[in-house]
Amino acid sequence: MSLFQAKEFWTTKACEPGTTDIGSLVVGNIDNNKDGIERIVVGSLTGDLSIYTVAEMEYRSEDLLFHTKLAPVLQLEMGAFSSPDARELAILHPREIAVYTVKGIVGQGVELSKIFGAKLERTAANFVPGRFGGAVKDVICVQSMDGALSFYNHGRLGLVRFVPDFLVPGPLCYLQHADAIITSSATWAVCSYKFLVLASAGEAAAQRSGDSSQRSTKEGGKRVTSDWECNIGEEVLQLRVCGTKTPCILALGRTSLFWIADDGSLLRSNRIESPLSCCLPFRCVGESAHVVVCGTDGIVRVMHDKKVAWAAGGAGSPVAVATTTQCGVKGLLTLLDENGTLSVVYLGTDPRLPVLKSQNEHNYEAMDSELKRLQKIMSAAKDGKLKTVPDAQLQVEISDFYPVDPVRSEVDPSAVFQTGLTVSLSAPAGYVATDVVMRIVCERPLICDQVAINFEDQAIDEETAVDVRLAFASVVGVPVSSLHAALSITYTVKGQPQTYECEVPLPLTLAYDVAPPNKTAQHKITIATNHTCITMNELFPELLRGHEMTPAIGFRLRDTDEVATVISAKTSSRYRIQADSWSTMAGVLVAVTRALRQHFSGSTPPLAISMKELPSLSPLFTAIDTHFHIRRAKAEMAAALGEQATQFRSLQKRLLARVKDVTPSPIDQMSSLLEATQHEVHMRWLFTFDLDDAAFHRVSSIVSPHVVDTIEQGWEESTLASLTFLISTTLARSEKDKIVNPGPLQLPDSTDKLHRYIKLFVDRLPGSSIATGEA
Amino acid sequence: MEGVDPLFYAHFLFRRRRYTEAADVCSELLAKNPYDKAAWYLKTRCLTEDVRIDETELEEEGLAEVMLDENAVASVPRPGTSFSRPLTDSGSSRGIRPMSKSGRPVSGFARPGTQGARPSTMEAAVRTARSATSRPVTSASGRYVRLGTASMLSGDDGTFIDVSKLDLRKYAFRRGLARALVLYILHVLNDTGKAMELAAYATEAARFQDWWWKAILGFCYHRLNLFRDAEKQLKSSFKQTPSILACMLLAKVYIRMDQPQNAIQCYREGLEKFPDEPVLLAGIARVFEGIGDLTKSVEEYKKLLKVDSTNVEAIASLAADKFYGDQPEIALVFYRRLLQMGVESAELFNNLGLSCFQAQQYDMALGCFERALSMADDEAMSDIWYNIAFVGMSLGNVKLAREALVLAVTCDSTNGEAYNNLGVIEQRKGNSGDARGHYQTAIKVSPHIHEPHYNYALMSLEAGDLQQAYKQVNDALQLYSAHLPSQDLLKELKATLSQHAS
Repeated sequence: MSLFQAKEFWTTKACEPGTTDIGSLVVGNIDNNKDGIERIVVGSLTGDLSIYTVAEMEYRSEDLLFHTKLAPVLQLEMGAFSSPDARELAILHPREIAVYTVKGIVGQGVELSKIFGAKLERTAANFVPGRFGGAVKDVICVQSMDGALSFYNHGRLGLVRFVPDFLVPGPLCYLQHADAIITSSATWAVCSYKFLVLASAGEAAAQRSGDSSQRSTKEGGKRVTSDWECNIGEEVLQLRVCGTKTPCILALGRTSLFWIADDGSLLRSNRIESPLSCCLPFRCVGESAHVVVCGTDGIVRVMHDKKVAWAAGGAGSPVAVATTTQCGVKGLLTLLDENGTLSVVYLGTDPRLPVLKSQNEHNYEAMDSELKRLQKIMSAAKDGKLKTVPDAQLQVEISDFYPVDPVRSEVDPSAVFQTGLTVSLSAPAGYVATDVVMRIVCERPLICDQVAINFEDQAIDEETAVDVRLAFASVVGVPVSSLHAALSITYTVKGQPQTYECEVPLPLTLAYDVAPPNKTAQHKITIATNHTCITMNELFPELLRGHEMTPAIGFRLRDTDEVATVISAKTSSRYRIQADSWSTMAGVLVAVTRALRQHFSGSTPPLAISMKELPSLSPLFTAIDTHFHIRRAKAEMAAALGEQATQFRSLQKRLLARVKDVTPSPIDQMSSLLEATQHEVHMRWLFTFDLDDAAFHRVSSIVSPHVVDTIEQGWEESTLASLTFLISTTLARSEKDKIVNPGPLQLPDSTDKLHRYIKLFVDRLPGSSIATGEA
Repeated sequence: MEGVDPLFYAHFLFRRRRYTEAADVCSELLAKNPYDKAAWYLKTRCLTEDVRIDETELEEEGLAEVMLDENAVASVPRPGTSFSRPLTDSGSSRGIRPMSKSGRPVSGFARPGTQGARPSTMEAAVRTARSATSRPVTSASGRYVRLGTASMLSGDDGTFIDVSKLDLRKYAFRRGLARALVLYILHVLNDTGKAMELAAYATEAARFQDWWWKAILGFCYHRLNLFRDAEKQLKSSFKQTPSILACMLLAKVYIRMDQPQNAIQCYREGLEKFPDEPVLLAGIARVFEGIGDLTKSVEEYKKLLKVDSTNVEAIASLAADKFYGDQPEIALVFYRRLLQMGVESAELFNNLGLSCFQAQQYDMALGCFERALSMADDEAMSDIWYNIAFVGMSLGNVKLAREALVLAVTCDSTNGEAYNNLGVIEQRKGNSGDARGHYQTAIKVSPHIHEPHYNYALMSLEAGDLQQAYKQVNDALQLYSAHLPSQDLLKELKATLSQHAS
């Protein structure tokens, strides 16, 4: 990220993408012209060598002065190789080093003439020119891929020395005043080798034979040792000499720039949070220096010592950089990037103008009208006036119950699916329902063999109808509190989600068997109707088909001895339901009222069912208390489980600590302790989750009979909350009662309040709007 | 490449960061000569660099690491000495500066580890930073996701290096190979134990004189969560040869140990050796931000900007600070600078829009929000709608505000601030039931903000439910003790209650 952009002065495509390297660029007055115009020389791994001049701000084809194809060009350098003041071009090929002079021809560009060349014994990696050992002209030091430094003076091979600890060739640079070659090795240190040491090292060091000890001792020569090493801990991409008053070395790491003094001490290091590719020190005044650092993020940073003096973006991904003066403009940067683009840029001062993706022009009128339309729908929805039901609907038909082959339930083995029904889904003409999902919810102990059916890709239209068979069963021995299943179908029509919901009444015979009636029972409920009593044969025709007319019928909760008896009075219009336990009666009562309603449907006057006396509330309270105590015990058990788990964890920790320990002490009784704790934890889990089938009671619909206990919320709280709400709103006697903010639902401390509220509720219920049916 | 030595070409590709190609060339070389050390070294380096994540980069701590941390010294640390207990009353106040989901002041720049404060409960840990999935369950599975690609890469020609068969003791003496190998084991194989073994041998082989090996050993210990050992190694490394790497790793270890003061001290020592080093300055600033000392954090960011004026993180942080410090015009300048520097994101346009609005450049504000919406993902979208609602409310356009808020909670149902404002709007319309619901939702999804508590208290007081009001105002004060309206309300409540009592 940079505020400024590098501005293009001159640019051209110099070579193939991906063939340029850090040494592929040389800028300077290579042809020794009188005007001192700097030429740009570019070589590439494909062997293309081009010489350019910059005549004006834009590239013209005449700017290419010279082009030729050679062997792959690994590196270019400019130096005085034949005489002290000459400017010549040295080119490194894989197996050859050659020095050329470049001569300008009036009107025809330049021509290259080879002064000397030398075939190389070893495959070359890179080279550095320098006046080693006080030579008057530049000597070339070529590093080979296997670590030999060969010195060529005017095309003649001089010394050959091996770099110790060599693995892959590192960058080279020559420090003139110390007469030392600086390189970096695979040990990620920058090392300095004095030329004198190299020269005086045994000739034998040239024979790379076996290991180093052999080299140094057997052959008698001195080992090549480094003058100093600076361990920087990073691979070095480029080494540069920085011409400050006391020259120092710049080592460019992968993400850092290291400044190393000529005695090998680390002066400072800059970490730059982007991958770096090349650097160039320039304008070194006194002890301070400017360095151009380029990275792959396309930003050219000009560092002034530690500070970022300037940053300009948009420079591509340069692999080589040089400063240049062109057309009289000083301080231009020549960049050669990975794609082979050669460009001369200057650091512009205009801030980059953000180029934003153009947005579509909005049609504000259309948007306004759309908004108005939507707002109309929204306000209609708020007032409940929005028409949500579509004209046509999915047609759902539910068949009567029929017996099916007995199948044992996987959820609860005591339940056997014996009765079932078919749900048929079909669609009217021109109606397509997709994403159809059917869900069936039963209250335990009743269960259905399906919980949810997803039709996925199956669309329902006028030609495709779907039949779903469902089977129902009851878990044995648990009293039933409700006798229906909720069926909900969700589907999508023309992208709009729709739902269908209905309640399927379930037969009493799911959970009860017909049994001989009991004459006596502990608990009784009497219900009165406004019609004359009918016999049980009329009330439950399908159960008592073929039996004698009887005024009484018994229902035994399957696999138990509990029998609920229904008796119709001979004279009055009352029915009595009696049983030894309240809970057994719940399901039967539901079935009786349903059967009565069915039998008297359409009769005049409409059937009214009433109950003259209220059953006592005390058994309900006892049941509530029992359930409450169970929940308290469960909470305590959960707390204990928590403690046990903590202990388990700390034991594990201690064991782990022992494992980590270098000198383990005996584990003592830890393992048995761990086992015991784990056993206890498991036991408690068992207890905790088996406790849930608590009481089911007969209470009216507001005080829900369904005991749905979750960890956070239990029956007591939710009932208490709904009662509180009712008492404070519909059943309120004074305005003062109405303002109560419901608190959060928590396990109450005792059931007293609940008892009180239930009593209050039952007291106030007669005559209230709920009982009379007014909303 | 014709005419070029393959090893040279591989090395060239490696230098040019074309790792996959380079590794392929090396594979060919190794197929011809399996004992070619240079090719082996290069291939190791290529495979490593391809998947390497900077060791000094902070990582998001995993759920398991945070919750089962055994290194915290005090369970109830004093403010400012731990990331889990930020300074509450320094810098800008909580009333003005919003908090991230975990209750840390929102910073200008998001990077790993800056988003969530250390949670104190499991519930808070799971909820941290917007959604339950944002925090990896353990860092072992979350952070090294890129491992898969690495193992597949080497799977092409069988496992490249089978470390269990190598004699690490022997390799420790091969100075060049060992370094490449240890990074390969760390980053590609992700076998910290083996890496540590090699590092220990190599340190020994270097006669305990190589700072780099000590730093890597420290890093291995850190990976294994043996922070005390890591600290020892890194300290020794830094003492022997000061280096930025060791300094940053050491600070990272301190941060993991939840010792922010030590981390700052460590950065300071590093700065003595490497004056004005940007990464160290940024490190200090981040730690200060983490412990809630925003004033000092801003000071460090300013120092950083003096050294490197292109640092996006510093500019963004300064902008955020200026914005919440009631200087929207200056914040606007910073944000514009970011835009000019090429940062383009929904968040930036959102901030620009807000700054424009605060600086009373209304025409620009809505344009910025529009642009932000077109670039935003769901999470940012929620915040942008929230801000649009804020603009609507400030302009008195309650309808716009309400609809924007509804969109905000649709985009992100855990946006507590939006629920709170929705509650305020409903309350003003007289729908106290809806308002109460919104406040309760706000309290539930964002337990760290005090506004819904205060609003709920105010509403309860109006309704005459003194007990609820008392409870909520106390909750509000617990979250933000310097909240003046809450204090006033509490005083009023106390007076009323004592009146009733007497």
